[in-house]
Amino acid sequence: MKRRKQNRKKNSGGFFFPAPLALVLFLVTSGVIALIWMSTRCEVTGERIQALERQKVELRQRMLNEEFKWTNTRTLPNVQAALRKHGLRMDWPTSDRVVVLTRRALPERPVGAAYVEYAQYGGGEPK
Amino acid sequence: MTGKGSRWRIGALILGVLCIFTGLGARLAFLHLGPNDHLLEHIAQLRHTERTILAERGRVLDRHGHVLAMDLAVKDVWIDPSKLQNYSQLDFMINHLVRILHVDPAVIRARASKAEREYEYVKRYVQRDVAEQLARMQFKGLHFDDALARHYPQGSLMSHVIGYSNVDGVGSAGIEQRWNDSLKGRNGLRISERDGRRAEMYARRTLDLAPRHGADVELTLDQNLQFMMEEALDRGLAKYGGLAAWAIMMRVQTGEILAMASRPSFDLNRYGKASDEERRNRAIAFNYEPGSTFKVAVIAAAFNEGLIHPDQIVDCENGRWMYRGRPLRDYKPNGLLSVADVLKKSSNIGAAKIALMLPEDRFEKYLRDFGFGARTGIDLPGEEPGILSGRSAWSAISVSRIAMGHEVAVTGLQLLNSVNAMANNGFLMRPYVVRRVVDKDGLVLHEGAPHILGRPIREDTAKLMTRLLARVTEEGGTGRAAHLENYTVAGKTGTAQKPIPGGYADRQNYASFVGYLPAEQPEISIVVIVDDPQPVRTGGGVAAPIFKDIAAEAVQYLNIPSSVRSVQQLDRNEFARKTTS
Repeated sequence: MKRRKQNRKKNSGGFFFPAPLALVLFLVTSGVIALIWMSTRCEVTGERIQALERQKVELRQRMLNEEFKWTNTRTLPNVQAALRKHGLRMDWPTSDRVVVLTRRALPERPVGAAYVEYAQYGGGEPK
Repeated sequence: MTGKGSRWRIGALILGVLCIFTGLGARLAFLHLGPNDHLLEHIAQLRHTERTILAERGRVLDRHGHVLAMDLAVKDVWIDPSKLQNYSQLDFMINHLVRILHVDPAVIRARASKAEREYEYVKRYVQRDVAEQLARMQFKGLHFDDALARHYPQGSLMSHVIGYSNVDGVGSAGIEQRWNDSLKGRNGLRISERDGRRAEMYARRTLDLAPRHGADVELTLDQNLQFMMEEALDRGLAKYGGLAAWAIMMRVQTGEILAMASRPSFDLNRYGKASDEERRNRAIAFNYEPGSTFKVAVIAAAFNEGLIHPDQIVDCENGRWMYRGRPLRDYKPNGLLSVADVLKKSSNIGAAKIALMLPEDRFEKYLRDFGFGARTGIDLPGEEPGILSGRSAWSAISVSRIAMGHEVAVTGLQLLNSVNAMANNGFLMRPYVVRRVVDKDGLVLHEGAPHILGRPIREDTAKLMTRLLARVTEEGGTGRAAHLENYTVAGKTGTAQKPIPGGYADRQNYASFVGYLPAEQPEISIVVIVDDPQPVRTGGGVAAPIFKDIAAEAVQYLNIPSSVRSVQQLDRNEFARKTTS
């Protein structure tokens, strides 16, 4: 008697995962991973922003302190004390020692010339 | 058999996992859907965090951008006493605090012993460098908070104009008070949640309101001119004595205040230790009887009405004149004087006779048009209006007394402004000290501009008055001490007896000088007043030299052309006008 061929599919002892469910699970997993990745990115970016915020505050405070030191150094009593210390005597220039340049006498200025340089000529703000 | 056993085990495992997840799910559902408000509230409270971001107060700058008031980033140093009990290094820490912060060790020890407290100040407004030095030592229970402190780099310079802001950051005097709304800015606010490590979670930030820093206030005052003026006042007080002194410098054509000083003064960084008298800005907040400087307005009014001319002779009665039963005296006796000499020699009798030529209503109108009895409207707080009572309140001799600057009270600023009108072709300007208010983005919020209050006298009267006032500083004039080489100074001295209960003090005066220069093309006007100088007590002897001191430096600093050059310039302009026409 010929031995009956066994149906492998019917009698399979292994666990078969349905393809649609696998697809759904794959999509869900991918979504979750994407979400976690985005969340992590957000967190990292947030921390960077916070670090930059702290840095900005720190720099601002340092700037204020430096401005304070510079202003204190330049106060008239301090300048006078420094002059005295070095035996210097300074006075405001008399009118014959002052050169006044009128706007017309100014050389042609290149576009975007630095304000400080421009201001030295008494020309006001650049146009 | 193997297959059956395996299936059973898998089934049991799935069942087990399902049970666990069902349990967890049920707990989760219970937590989320059940009566858990108190729990949620507790968690929210633990996580919730609100942080105020301090806004910097705007700076106060002089006309060239020199910083006069600024905020400084500092630290408040504090301890948590609850964590310092049984701290082995407490003595070591206190020693360092005393050494670095210069605090009283007994006070710190007492504060550290308050076990029930969690916050006790060690010292406020500590400079960052110093705080960082302490922070590096990593003491337990020692903490640092960010803070902003107001600082005035120039100390007492311009103190009465700048004013100060109190510990709460509210402007309480001067520019700081008047422009508080612009200077103060608005604090920022950050509402968020924090994690288990108490660090803020950026993603949970629900509100992030950035601070709006205060705007900068740029003054019309120049710190160099101010320094010159204050030095001159100090030298004057040292030389002539006096209880107080004050002075103002104004740009003639615009009404900009270039310098304003008052003595006694105080250090703005220690304003709390200053007395009320030291804090008082006498230039605008002190009424006094002006004496002879008031004659300028009286005589200008008579000229403007066409009642007198410069060469008209006035009998000055040899220094004593009985008017309506009351004597009127001159400081030095004079006989017949021209109107021009009445001003030059400052005759009280001459001025009274000129004032009496004016109808009372016209007289009062002129005085009010010159701004007496009303605030000038300067953009500073605390300005006094002076005292000029209405005509109905005048006595029979009031006009003769007002003519010599009695029975009226003015502020230094009012007096300067009225005389400034002579220099400015009769135009009375509103004085101002704020040039611009600019926010941190460079947007101009306010721009000070010249403003004409009125024109009490015509141009020809103003020019005539200038010529007559220039004679005051010439040889034989009362203001000779204000004469400046190469410059024609137009001005008037004033020596007013100080009022005391029941009359006037014999030997106590307000000595003053008000004037402008160069007379040909006036650029600056200056007033100087000294309260009770001794032993020299006259305006010409005390205030005029101080005026000269200030003016001599100012013309050099401002590069004002000398009178010779001004005349040449005027001639050139005249020539150009003629050739053009």
